[in-house]
Amino acid sequence: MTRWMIKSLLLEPLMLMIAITSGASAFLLIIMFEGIFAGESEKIVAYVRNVEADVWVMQRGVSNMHMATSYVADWKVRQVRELPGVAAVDPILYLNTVVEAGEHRWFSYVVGLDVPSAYAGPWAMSIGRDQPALGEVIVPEVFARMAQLKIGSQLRITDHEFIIVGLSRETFSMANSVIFINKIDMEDIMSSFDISSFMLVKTANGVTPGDLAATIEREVDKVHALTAEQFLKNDKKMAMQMGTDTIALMTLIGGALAILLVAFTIYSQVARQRCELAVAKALGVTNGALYASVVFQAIVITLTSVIVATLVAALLMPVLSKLIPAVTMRLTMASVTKIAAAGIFVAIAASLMPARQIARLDPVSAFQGGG
Amino acid sequence: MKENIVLQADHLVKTFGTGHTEVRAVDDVSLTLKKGELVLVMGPSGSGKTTMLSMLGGLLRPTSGRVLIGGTEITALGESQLPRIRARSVGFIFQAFNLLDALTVEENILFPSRLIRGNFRQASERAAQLIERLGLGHRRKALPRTLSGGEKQRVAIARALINAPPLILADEPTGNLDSVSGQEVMMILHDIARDEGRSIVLVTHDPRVEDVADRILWLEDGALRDRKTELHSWVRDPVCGMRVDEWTAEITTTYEGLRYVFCAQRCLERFEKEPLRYLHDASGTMASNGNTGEQ
Repeated sequence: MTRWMIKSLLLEPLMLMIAITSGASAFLLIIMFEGIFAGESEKIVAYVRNVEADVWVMQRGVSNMHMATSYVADWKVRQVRELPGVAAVDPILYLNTVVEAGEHRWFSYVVGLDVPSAYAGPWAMSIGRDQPALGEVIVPEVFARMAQLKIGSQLRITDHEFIIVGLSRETFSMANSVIFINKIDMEDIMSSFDISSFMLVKTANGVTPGDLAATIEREVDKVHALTAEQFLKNDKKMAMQMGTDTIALMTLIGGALAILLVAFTIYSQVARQRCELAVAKALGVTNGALYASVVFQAIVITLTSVIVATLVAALLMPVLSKLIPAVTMRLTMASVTKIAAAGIFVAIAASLMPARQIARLDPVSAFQGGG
Repeated sequence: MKENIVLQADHLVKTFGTGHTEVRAVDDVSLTLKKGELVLVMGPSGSGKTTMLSMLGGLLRPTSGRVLIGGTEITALGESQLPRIRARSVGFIFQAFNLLDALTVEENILFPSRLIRGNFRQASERAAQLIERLGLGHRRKALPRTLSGGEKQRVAIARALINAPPLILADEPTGNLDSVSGQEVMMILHDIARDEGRSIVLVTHDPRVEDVADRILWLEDGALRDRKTELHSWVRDPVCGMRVDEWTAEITTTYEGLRYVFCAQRCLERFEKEPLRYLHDASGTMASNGNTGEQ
């Protein structure tokens, strides 16, 4: 049976190629959507992930950054600095708003830095300065390229004009980009003074983030302190719920289409062998062996398709990232494994439909042309 | 002698559809087949021959009645037990050959033997014997698509015999063959019954086989009757000169108001290309409307 299954698959290389190409195209579609989803999901929380804080301190009741509003009086920043176990505190004032440059409008995290900022500013620069003075702004390199901006260009945040003095890397995403200005400018935009949104705290040697967060909450009135790990987790969860809904919907639709294509490909492959399977049944092959036969073929085609799709995606993603810088894609082993598992499940289900028909079919159909 | 009975079918009925759309494809057919017996089942198209054959081989469940192969009532067996019976006790030969395209001649022949555990060595030896006996030695590694019709049917016969089943069921085994290959296949089947003692039920339209059959059954409108004693309306195929029973012949044509019958499609095609050549060569040997056939 095994020999027959393998040889049947290889008998018509062209049909096998078509089946694998169809499957691979479908999986490529899912992998690309998944890649965009994974890339954008990571980019949305890029700021929280990359700045070097051990503990985040914010207004009580707030537990994440994405689309959140938090106000903490600056005297509390000084109070935290004085606490034992604190190595450094870098406060930021933060706003979600639209940045305009000519006809381009981009929703952004605007981070007001308490210059000189030790570690709350851009973590990777392409060109220019990473500490904005008054009236200056640091924007993502991709953003600048798309809006045809350069060092010295102007852009508008609410009703304030800023001059670009630096281009940062890894700070752009389709859902939100990270823009850095001076905290004093931010206070001016918000008409609120002597306040911060978040404190980015570093622990002293020998102090764990969890312990320090507990100490801060105990010693400072009406603040919420979270370890960087927990804060990132919260932010990602919120970002996923809000910012990536569209991408998730696209992935779902693409995935559904791809699944249909995989199902159709496998169904066609098995249906083509319907006559031979009926003959095998007439010769004494059991239904179980017939199921095993079609499932084996479905798994071989699906796995080969996934491998081909993954290889093509691995080659395409860097190229596409360069051609379309606005889109961030990330190929992870986890997503490929997930897609392969889903694909195999769908392929097995799709192959069992015609196999079930064959199992229920009277093998009398092997007698073609009889009277 | 009860132990000599290989196949027994009692009051087989098969209906398709229900109510006013119900069709009684096989109607109260009973049949007993002894060891080494070759029985022909003839009848017009749609008379229920294939349906009956399918029930005899455990491929189709009858609406009522029972089938016993080697004393085992296969109609009482569950679906999970039938594959074993099909693999061990019945050899099928199909009109369309139905070889597995991906497998070589040898692999096709061995395929049913792989369905029986512990049969590998014996089956390999038997396959080698069958390949030689059926003249397939030079085609052992060939794929079915490279074989002629006659070779394909010989492979199908070898496949049917590989597990040495007591019963062979053949559905129009010469239907897709030219007259020479058809004759050859019929002789092989005859030898199998005579020399190996296998029982054969053979559905056919080919009247040439009647001479080698032990019994001829006529199936019409689902009902079976003996026909050995009945008269034939023999005429000669104008192309190859073989005898053809005008009553049962299905390959016919009309030329200049006369009806001509043929033993095989190939003969008809030749006739249609050059009718005058064959009418001239075979004058006085054909056709109805003044049929000069022998009785």
